[in-house]
Amino acid sequence: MAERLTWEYVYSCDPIPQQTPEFNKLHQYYENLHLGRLTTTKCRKCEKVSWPPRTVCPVCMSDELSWVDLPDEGSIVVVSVQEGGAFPGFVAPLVFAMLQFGDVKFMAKLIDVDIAQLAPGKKVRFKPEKQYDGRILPAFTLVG
Amino acid sequence: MTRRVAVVAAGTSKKWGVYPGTYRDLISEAGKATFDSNPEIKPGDIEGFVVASVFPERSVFQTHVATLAAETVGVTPTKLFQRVENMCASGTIAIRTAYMAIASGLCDVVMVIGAEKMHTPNPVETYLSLMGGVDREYEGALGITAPVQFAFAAQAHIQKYGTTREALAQVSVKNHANAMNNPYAHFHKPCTIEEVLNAKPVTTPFTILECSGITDGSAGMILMSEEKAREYTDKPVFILGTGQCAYGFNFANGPSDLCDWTMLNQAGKDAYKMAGIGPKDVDVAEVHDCFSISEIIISEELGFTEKGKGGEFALQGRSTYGGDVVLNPRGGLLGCGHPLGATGVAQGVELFHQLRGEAGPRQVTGAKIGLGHNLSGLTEHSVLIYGRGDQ
Repeated sequence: MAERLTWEYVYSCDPIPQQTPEFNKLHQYYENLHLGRLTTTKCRKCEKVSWPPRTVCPVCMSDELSWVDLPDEGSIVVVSVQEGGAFPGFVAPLVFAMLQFGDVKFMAKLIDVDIAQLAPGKKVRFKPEKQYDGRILPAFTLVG
Repeated sequence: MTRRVAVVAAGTSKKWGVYPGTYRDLISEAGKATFDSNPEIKPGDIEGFVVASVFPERSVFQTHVATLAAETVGVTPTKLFQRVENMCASGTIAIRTAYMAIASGLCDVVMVIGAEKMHTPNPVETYLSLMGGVDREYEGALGITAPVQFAFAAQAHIQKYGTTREALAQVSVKNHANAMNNPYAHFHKPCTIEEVLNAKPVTTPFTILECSGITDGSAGMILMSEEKAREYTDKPVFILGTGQCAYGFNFANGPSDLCDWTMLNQAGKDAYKMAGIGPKDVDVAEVHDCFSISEIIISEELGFTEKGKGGEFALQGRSTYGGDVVLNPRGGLLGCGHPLGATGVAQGVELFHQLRGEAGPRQVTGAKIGLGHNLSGLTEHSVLIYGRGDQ
């Protein structure tokens, strides 16, 4: 009789994306996060800046893209504080905001913030968040 | 030249909620209810079969479900078999697919089943599976869920139009009250504005009573060409028009104004134009109240009230019995729960009964035109307009 199946790791139950070259052509995005840079791709041919980053430009179909930095600071458009129904592994309260950086919008997790200070128009700064196993995800915190 | 398409049979599983059975059991119930609603139709009459189901891979470890569902309800499809997965709008899109197959002449008789078994023995599995419904890599990974996205729309509406928390809560009060008259609704408990506002917080501004539930449920419908439909019923309900419009996928790529649901406005206009009617002609509508704010914005974008006035429209009773249009007489997603693939089909089932005058205590007097609306996020919308046979 086969032993009961016990896996230490099941990707289909792992919220954090694969971030390494063998699984992700856009691994540079995560490597840049480790360097403290929030980046996305820009098409070398038509100069379209896309979010999320791409391997092929959705406007001109060029596959020649380069990495560009998004601004370090943006402002809150709307914000919501989540107290219930969070995914497994996420500890409430969680703070999420739609941010605006010039022309670019970004769905963001805010960390290390005083909830009472949150409001539309408040400035935020990029602050990447290391995960338990060394992987990394973008996050933001209030300026000042 | 397209052909007219009619609904001739429709039914739902008996009690939505935490279903004490398997995925096949749940599908069987919808099949039986649908065939029982019109005993003239036999499983052998069905040529095409479309099933709406969002994540059976994750909730019951079953993929390849179109023919599984067809076999389960006794159907051997000879012209069309297909699964539709478009997250929360899958049900309406399945009906739309059946419509296209019949209107084009590909099939004369198509059955649609929507089924979703969401609950698993370990409840957090379901939360995790729902992460797959947003941009998993760039949004879900951060912990962002549908409630947060719709909360952003609510905050934007409050900031821009001064919409009150009471107006949002009124949508929940109305739909929970309507659900009291619907035997299969998951939630049979009325609530007051005060109770909604004081319920457990989920994500600002929503409390738990403003969020549609995680629910198991199923529903079915049989559609036919007009000629065929006349052989099986004296009271066909016709699909008069439909529209569908999407913009982007990642939340950040939608329109800047989070409470401007342009895509719904467009889908609605296309459906009205095709049906040759306007918003004032709609007597009853089943719309996608996944969260309280949704019904407010939907009432604006579908033209039932002006942009920015959806809150007042709800508070003034204009969206219920005796008002301008009855929204969500079966109790909506807030009262019935939201078994993803089943919801749109169940909305169609309700409109079928409403337009035939068979909706019992939920009946909208003299209803002639019904509208069904499903969304899958703020930026993708599908609309169907139904009319009585004499329209």
